[in-house]
Amino acid sequence: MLLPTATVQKLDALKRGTYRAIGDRAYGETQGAAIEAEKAAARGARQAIESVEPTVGPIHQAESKLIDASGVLDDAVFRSGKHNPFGLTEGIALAGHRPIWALPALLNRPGIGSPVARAVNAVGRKLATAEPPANLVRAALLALMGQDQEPEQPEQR
Amino acid sequence: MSELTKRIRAKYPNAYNDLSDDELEQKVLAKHPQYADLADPKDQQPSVRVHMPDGRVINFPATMSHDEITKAIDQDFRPNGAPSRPALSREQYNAVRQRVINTAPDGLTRDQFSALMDSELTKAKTAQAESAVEHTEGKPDYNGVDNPIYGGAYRVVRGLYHYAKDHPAAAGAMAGSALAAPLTGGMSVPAAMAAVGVGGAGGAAYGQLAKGAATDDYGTPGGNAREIATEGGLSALGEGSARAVGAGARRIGPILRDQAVSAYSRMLKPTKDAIQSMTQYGATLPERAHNVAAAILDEGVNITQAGARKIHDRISQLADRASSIIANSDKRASTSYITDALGEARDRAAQQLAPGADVAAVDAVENSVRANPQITKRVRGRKLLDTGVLDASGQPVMKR
Repeated sequence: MLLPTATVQKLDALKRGTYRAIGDRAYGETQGAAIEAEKAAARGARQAIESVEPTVGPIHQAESKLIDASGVLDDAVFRSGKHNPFGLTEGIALAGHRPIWALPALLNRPGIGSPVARAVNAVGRKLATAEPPANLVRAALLALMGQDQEPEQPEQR
Repeated sequence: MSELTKRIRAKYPNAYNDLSDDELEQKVLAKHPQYADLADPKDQQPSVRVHMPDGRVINFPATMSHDEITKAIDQDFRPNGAPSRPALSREQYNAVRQRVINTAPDGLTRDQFSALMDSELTKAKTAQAESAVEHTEGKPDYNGVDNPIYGGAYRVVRGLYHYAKDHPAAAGAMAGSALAAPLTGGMSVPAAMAAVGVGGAGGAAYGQLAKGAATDDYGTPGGNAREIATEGGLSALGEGSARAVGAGARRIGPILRDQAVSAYSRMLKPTKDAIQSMTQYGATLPERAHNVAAAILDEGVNITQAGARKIHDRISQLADRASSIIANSDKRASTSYITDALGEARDRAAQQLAPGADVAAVDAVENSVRANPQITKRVRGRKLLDTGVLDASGQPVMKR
């Protein structure tokens, strides 16, 4: 008979073991419905853990998203390793003595283009949260007007 | 005879008898161009009309350069606001006149009274000049009561300074309103000044300056007023510019980011199969492809082996954090979450024309879970007996 409750450590071990077993199985070894059912059981175990340890939930979500993303990234890295380092576009550009033509093609290469995209993304993120440099402008203008600090109040006559 | 020469000859009888009317007029105008409006109309030239701080209106010849006008005004009003030859206010003049009337001996002729009045006025002006120098020695007197323009500008700046320091958000909004109507009479600015607590005089002065800058008709003394008006405008303009720059940056930022993600996604080239199950990244496949690229980009990794390793390390860190929390927990969780999830899986499997095999597969998994010794307990007593009857999913129905 199923126990009404279990320790989170035991549930976590079962969840991890289930996912590992699914991953280790050869393709076609288990039918789709069974795999979905096992995944559902593991998901139930995760939800049970998160119900009593809510701080784990966001970590699991971030981990899950990164696991999915890492699969896509692994594929891209694997694919880029098969690229010909000297492609058709570069060949045409050099043959026509127009090396600048090769630049767009080079920027589309993951190894070269991804650092550029990262830099542009970083700048965009900073600009998106930029605060107006009001204090800087105000200080400059007050300095220009000779009011770089609070003016001293002259004595009243 | 022009009005100018008539007045001069009346005031100084016989003093300029050696000069013709035209010569006298030219000499006076050369030294005091502000009397050009009294000169013979045929000799009058196009003029620049300037309101002096003491209320006088002077028409400077249009032939005078900006610097010459400024210099002429500065002879009467020093830039720091302390008048070198201060004009008396109407109240001060009336006070001197009343004092002369009260103290003058009887029987004075008109000329004698005028001479006495001039003498007393000179004394009053000298005393005022000395007082002004005494109070402004070593520091500019922007608050000089005899120079409402400089005093007003000073109060405006001081009010803005305190207000912006205490209310940065409201100051930004105020600067925005000033920018919305830059130097166009400054009607919104005096209202803001009132809010600042600068007072009507400061607000009026600021508005007057802004209006001067807009119409090029400075209702204030020459170049100095022009500088104040320009700088005052610059102050408002600068605040507005800063806000505009900030707003522009906040608009450009997402555009840049979007372009970066699109370029990264083109390099990442996620396959349809890979993103098919990534429902947490969006509803549609293009949306998922874009969002998964954004997620990797935000992790700051390149599409290289080192980047892939970095992502895996990050996953390991997250897993370790979760494991650490779980390892230190002494709580127990309900196993009903597992059976509920399996029930949902069975329901999904049943939603097809031939559900038997899939439903049976789900039930087999559930039975396997229920048989797991780590989360079950042995039931003491009678053994479960097979009834020989199969349920809807083909599983045997047991009874105690």
